[in-house]
Parts: sequence; C-alpha cells; structure tokens
Amino acid sequence: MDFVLEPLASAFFVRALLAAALVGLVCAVVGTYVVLKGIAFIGDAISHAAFPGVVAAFIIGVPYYLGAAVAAVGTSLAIGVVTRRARIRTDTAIGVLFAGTFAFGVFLYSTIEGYVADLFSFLFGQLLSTSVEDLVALALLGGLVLATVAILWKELLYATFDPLGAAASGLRVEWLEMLFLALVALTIVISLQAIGIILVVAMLVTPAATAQLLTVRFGRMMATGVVLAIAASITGLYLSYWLDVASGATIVLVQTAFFLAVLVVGPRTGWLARRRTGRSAGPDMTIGRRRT
Amino acid sequence: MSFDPHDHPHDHPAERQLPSLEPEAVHHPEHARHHASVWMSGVTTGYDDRTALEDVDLAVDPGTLLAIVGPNGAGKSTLLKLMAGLLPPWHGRVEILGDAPGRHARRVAYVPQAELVDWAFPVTVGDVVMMGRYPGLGPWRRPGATDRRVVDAALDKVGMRGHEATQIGRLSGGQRRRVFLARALAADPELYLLDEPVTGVDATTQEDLMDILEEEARAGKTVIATTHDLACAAQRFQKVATVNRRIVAHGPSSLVLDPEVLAKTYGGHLLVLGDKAMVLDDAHHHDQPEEGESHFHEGAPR
Amino acid sequence: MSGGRPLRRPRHGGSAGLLLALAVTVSACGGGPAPTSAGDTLRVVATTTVLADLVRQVGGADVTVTSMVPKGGEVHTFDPSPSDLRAVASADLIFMNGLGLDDWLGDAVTDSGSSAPVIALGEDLSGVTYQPVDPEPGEPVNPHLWLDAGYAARYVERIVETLAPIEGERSARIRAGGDAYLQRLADLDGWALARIAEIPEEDRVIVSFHEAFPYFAEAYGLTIAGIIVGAPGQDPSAGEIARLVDAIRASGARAVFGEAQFSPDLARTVADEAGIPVVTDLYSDTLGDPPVDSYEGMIRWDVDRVVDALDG
Repeated sequence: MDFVLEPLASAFFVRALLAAALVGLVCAVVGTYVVLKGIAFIGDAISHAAFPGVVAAFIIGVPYYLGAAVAAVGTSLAIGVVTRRARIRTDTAIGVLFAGTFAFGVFLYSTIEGYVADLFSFLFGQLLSTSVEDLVALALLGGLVLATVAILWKELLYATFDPLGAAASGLRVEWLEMLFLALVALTIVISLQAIGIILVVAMLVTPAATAQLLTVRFGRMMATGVVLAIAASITGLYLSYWLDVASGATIVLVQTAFFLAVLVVGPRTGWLARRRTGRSAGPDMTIGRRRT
Repeated sequence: MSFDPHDHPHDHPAERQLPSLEPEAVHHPEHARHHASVWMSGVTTGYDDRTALEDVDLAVDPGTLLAIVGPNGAGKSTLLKLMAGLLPPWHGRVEILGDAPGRHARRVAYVPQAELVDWAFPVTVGDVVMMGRYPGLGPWRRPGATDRRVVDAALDKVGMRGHEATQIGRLSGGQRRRVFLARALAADPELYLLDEPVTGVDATTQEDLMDILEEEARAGKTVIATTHDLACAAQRFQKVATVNRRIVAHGPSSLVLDPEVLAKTYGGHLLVLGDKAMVLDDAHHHDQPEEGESHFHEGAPR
Repeated sequence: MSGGRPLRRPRHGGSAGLLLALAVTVSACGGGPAPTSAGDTLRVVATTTVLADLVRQVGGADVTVTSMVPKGGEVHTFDPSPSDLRAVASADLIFMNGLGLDDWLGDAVTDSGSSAPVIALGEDLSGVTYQPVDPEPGEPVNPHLWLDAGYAARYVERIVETLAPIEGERSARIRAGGDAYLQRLADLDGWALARIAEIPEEDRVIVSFHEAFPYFAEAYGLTIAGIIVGAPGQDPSAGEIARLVDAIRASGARAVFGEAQFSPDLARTVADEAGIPVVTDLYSDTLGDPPVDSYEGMIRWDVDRVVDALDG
C-alpha cells in the first residue's frame, strides 16, 4: 500500500497525477479521431509549430500558452488550407511546415539575448512543476475541447468516416475539418506543460491506436482509449517516482508497452488469437492499412 | 422528360449523327428547369487544371431512374459530385431540387464508390445507417426512437436486419452496398446519387438493390446511379445518359444503348458483334483517384 | 602567469595549446604592445559575462571585452554560434573559467583557427580550497569559484598578470586598475560576510537550484541542504523531488533559491511542497540587467536576496 500511498503525501505529485490524467483523457478523446483520420503526422507538425509560439510569447512577455495557442491553431488552419488547395502531396507540404516552423522557433530562441528561462523545458514538458493555476487552465481548456466533441461527435464521426457522403448530405465538412484541427491544436497546447512538444503526439495517437486493436465500435474505441490513457498516466507517473526517471517519457513508454502488449496478445490482432482460431484476423483487422 | 426524335438542333457537329438523343432541356431550358430534380446547362468542371466534364446539358425529372454509363475516366463520378455539390462548376449553371447544389443537401443522399470507404473503420452496420439521420438531427441532438425505427425499416428493406452490430469490414461486397443503400434510405431523400451501387455484387444483390431503387423512383424520388454494367442499365433503368467528357446521349435506355451511341461513348473499348455490344472495360477497375480522394484497398486475405 | 605557472589550456586544446602558450611568452618577453587592429585596445573574449566584467574592471578603456555566452544564457549547455567563432578567431586573448564549466571553448578555438592565448582563470589557483562536485574523491571539482569574492580576487590577480605584460607601456595603468578593483572586491567580501552574519545562524540553511553556490556558502557561512537539479538540463524525477523535500524538512532549510537563467517552475514546486519561501532570481553563472550588470552588483544582489529571504 505504501507503494501507492507514499507519493500521494506530496501535493506536487497529486497535482502531476491530476494533470497527467486530464491530459490523457483529452488526448485520447481527440486522438480517437486523429487515428481514424490518419493524421498523426499533422498532430506532430502542430505540436512542433507551437514552439515558435512559446518563444515569441516569451519575447513579447505574454503567457506561453497564448503564444502556443496562436501558433498551433494558426498552423493547424494553414495545414487545413494546404491539404485542400496545394498541388503537392499533403505529407510533403506538412513535412515542410513542420520542420520550418520548428526551425523558426529555434531561430527565435537563438536571437534572445536576455533571460531564456529554460524555454527548452517545453520540449519535454515539466509535469512535476504543475501548479494549481496550471491545473485550472488545463481543466478549463480541456473541458472546452471535450464539450465541443460532446456536441459535435456524430458530425465529426460522419465527416471522418465518409467525408463525401457527409458533405453531400449537408454537413459542413470543410468547417468541421478546420474546427477539428483547431481542437487538435488546443489539445496540444494544454499538453505542452505536462508532456512537451516532442512526445505529445504519442499521447494523441498511442492510446487510441491501442483501443482500435481492441474494439470495432467507435464509442468503445474512444472509451477504451480514455481508460488506457489514464491508466498509462497513473502507472507511468508512479513508475517514474519509484524508478527515479523522467515522468513524461515514462508515461509515453507505458502507453507504448500497452500498445505492444495488445498487438502481441490482444484478443483480435494478437498472434495468440490467430493461433487459437487458426486463421487470419481478417481484412477488417489489418493494421496500418495504407491509403493509396 | 418526353422524348422527341424529330427535334434536333444542336451546337456540336460531332453529335449530329445522334440528333434524336438530345435532351429536351436544351431546347426548352426554362420549362424543364422548373420541374427538374437536376438541371445543368453548359457546365464545365474538373480537378485543378484537368477538365473532366465539358459543356454538359442535362435535365432529370423527378421520379426518374437514370443510369450514367461511360468508360473509365469519362467523368461519371464527376457528374455525380457536381450534383452532390462536392465539386463546383467552372462554367455553366447547376440546379439541384430547384436551387444551387448543396442548398437542399439534406434532401440529397450520396453514396460513394466502395473504394472510397475505409472498411476498417470501427463502425457497425447500425452506426453507418444511423449516419443517414445525422444531418437531419443537427448538433446537440442524439438519435432518438424515431431515428432507430427509420434505421430498422431501412435495414429491413435491404435485408440486413440482424446485422446491426457487425463491423462493416466483415461484410461481403454485396452486403456493404446494401448497408450504404440503407443509409441513403434512412435519410429519406428526394434525390439519390449513387456511385457504382451494383458494381461487383452478386446477381441476387443486384436484383434486390434495383428493386428498391425502382420502388423509390415509382414513389417520385429521383435516382441517379453510375454503372459499368450496360446490361443492367438496359434492363433495369428507365433512362440512360452516356458520358465521355460530354453527355454523348441521354434518353430512354432502349434508344440510347444502341451500337452507334456506344461506339461513340466508348470509342475503341467497345466490341460490336452483330447486334450485341460488349464493353472491353474492366468493370471492377475504378477511376483514377481524384484530387483529395483516398481509396481504400483490402489487404489480400491470407 | 600567477606563480610562474604555465597557462592552462582548455581540455580539448590539444597540441595547439603549447604553441599558444609560447605565443604569450613571446609577446610578453618581446615587451612590445599586442597586435592592435581594433584601434588601440586589446580584443578580449571571455566565455561568460561574469568573467568579461572582471576583465573589463581591470582593463578599463584599454581592452574591448565580449562574452560568448550572452547575458542570461546558460553556460553549461552553451553552443557557440558562427559569430562567437568569429569573435574567437579575431581575439587577441581569451579567458575561460575551466574546471569543466566551459569546455566547449576548446572546440570553438580549434574550429575558429584562433591562435590567441587561452587563460583558464579558475584552474590551479593558489590559496583556494577546491570542492568536489561529489563527496567521492577523484571527482571533478566544482567550477563556480567566482561566487566567493575572495576567490574572484584570485581571478583578478591572474587577469592583471596576463594583461599587464602584453599592454607594455600601459601596464602601470592596468596594475593600478587591478589594485583598485582588488580593494573593492575585498570590501565586497567583507560586506557580504557582515550582511549574512545578520541572519541567525540556525536560519542560514538554503536549497539552491544547481550546484553553483558551494564556495559562496563556504565563504559567507551558509549551509546548502539540497540541490534541485544535479546537472543543468536534467530535471529531477518525482521520487527525487519527494526525497529533496524530506531533506529540506529534516534540515530546516529556510528558503529555496532558483536562478535567473533557469525556469522557476521547479524551484517553486519544491518550495511549495516543503512549505518554505522561494526566491527565483539569484544570479550565478551570468550577469543581467542593472543592478546585476556587474560582478559586484551580482554579489550584492544575491546577498541581499538571501538575507531578505532568511532574515524575515
């Protein structure tokens, strides 16, 4: 019991636990659509694009999340336009934006002559430094994201599953797409403090991808993703406490372990299941189906 | 639309051999326009710089069961997308249900080609059919008892009751088309736009689906479907429009589907033996992916 | 230099170091003025703003000093830019701290092709008790000597000994400037000692952000109960924070001191957890804006912050 209770005696640990669970929850909900849309790369691009925003906010002297939000949402909308209008391949365009925005952040960073106050901590996050104000902001912005999904879940689902059919039947698919990218951006912004720019894409993608291996129903996939994400946050944070290792990275590693475990022994995709039934998992269970 | 074989002024010399097949809309545009479910005049469109359709005139009356036929890349799907408001015209005018495309989108049901659907997506048969109800519900509202009744009725009609909880990837090709038709039925539309609804399905499914579409047309709904299957178009559709970048011919299926028209529509892809025409065209081969489209291919079963 | 010792080379200096040492000897023995392509002043590059200020105080108008790590920059993890390499390449003289603080200078000197002499101010000083980074013997020593004003005076003596011979006829002025500055440092040292003595002895226990203050603490009678980050850039784990908080409670430390060039969040977290006040803007490795724009200003600032926090 000490194993569980001892860390809880520290208020900072409890705050970190709440923050990690909340970030896991919001990321898993939004990540379900990210995985189904196949836009993990866009998520990574948006998170890197937040860096120049953080640095610029520091230079101007406004709170970091304002800068991060402006940069991330701006980039997400730019990606939305580029994927629709540009005549080059989408992943190429995003690769250009991704590296370009991050390089701009490093460039801005290197122009700062004054106190840089450790801006690089945003690359890996500072979960353990979560303050009460951070938690409040996290709850408010995360609540905003969750409320938006709660209102528009079916429209987002239809537009994700069959954008042509949805648009033809009157859903404003372009608008939903832009709104969704903005939700991804907002989710990333609230995850920066806890997880950091480099690893936030794992929070978005890994629990939802694991859940997709476990269920064929959308609602269950989202619920499973949320449970996995929160479980990984709690397990990862405890592990980091007892093993003296970095908390954000440990959480992501636990998520990855969940994913690999399900991949190997999962009831639908695992090799155990295949050996038991003596047949292939079937086309609907193929992982990583390519869009051609 | 009445069919008048003696009325044949037109602009395109190439079409002079087929005067009898010119749509009436060209001659009495305003008259046709008021009744038509679909009305197009001088429409050109395409993707990026590539023109896919040129100078299309077409009027489709309510209650029509219309097949759009033509070779791969002829613009059949493009024509449907134009009607669905998924693609803007570059030139010319399009009116759907009496207004600009998209204006009455909730009275339109569009079913994409099977290749455009991600069959691994974690949705069940029931989920997909319920999507037909979403646009009418709007945000905030969750599907209620009425919606569930409508979904059940649609599933009944296509013979898929009892499969509600099945993930769509586990269905056969024919079952998949049935489910998507059920989604269209659940939306209770006035205009059905179906891209290859009977391609690659077994004969029973084809008959069942065509029976349903016929019934909808009889009930006054307009049904427009692309198809590769000339025999099906000839036997089951009331009217046919042949497309090859332009509307080559449009009229009753029995008149349109003659060797001369087909030769003109299909060019070298048509083999005419006596009075029988055979299209040398892979019916299962879909058009090239267009800008912004993703095609999903099944992994080969092991 | 001081005590006739040969110049210490940066660790990565290699054999070029010997040549550079000879270059100093030659110019020193030649007695002529140093090459002065930038007007009449000697171009000096220092690795940090603190060292640059010490050189400036001694050399006055006779030297032009630039610092490689900018004001507010982080010296341990510094990565020189092309303009830094250009400054090194055109420098007449380079000062570093040594002892592992600014080892990257060795690569910078090699990369820039500079032939300027490099003087490590912190290494092999006489009359200095070096403290190991870890209690274990054989570990590297802590490089932050300058935070003891008495040890900073040793740096200044070495600067004077380096500059005076090179500057030829101006050497008298350099020595006079050095003497005056040494006097001010002695006054500063005494002032700091007296100021901290105002704090009751049992309250003179602090937690510092990184391993920068052992000499400061030793000189002025403080006890460091714990350190938040072992190495800059390597954040502590949850377990380490929890143990640090326990150590703080056990030791009765009165305040946590963050440093201006690091994020204040961690210091704040630890202090909140331990229920003691936090000061987030101590200066250690870098100078800042006035009044912290000189070495003396920095020591006064730090001492005042410590006294304010502990003597409350």
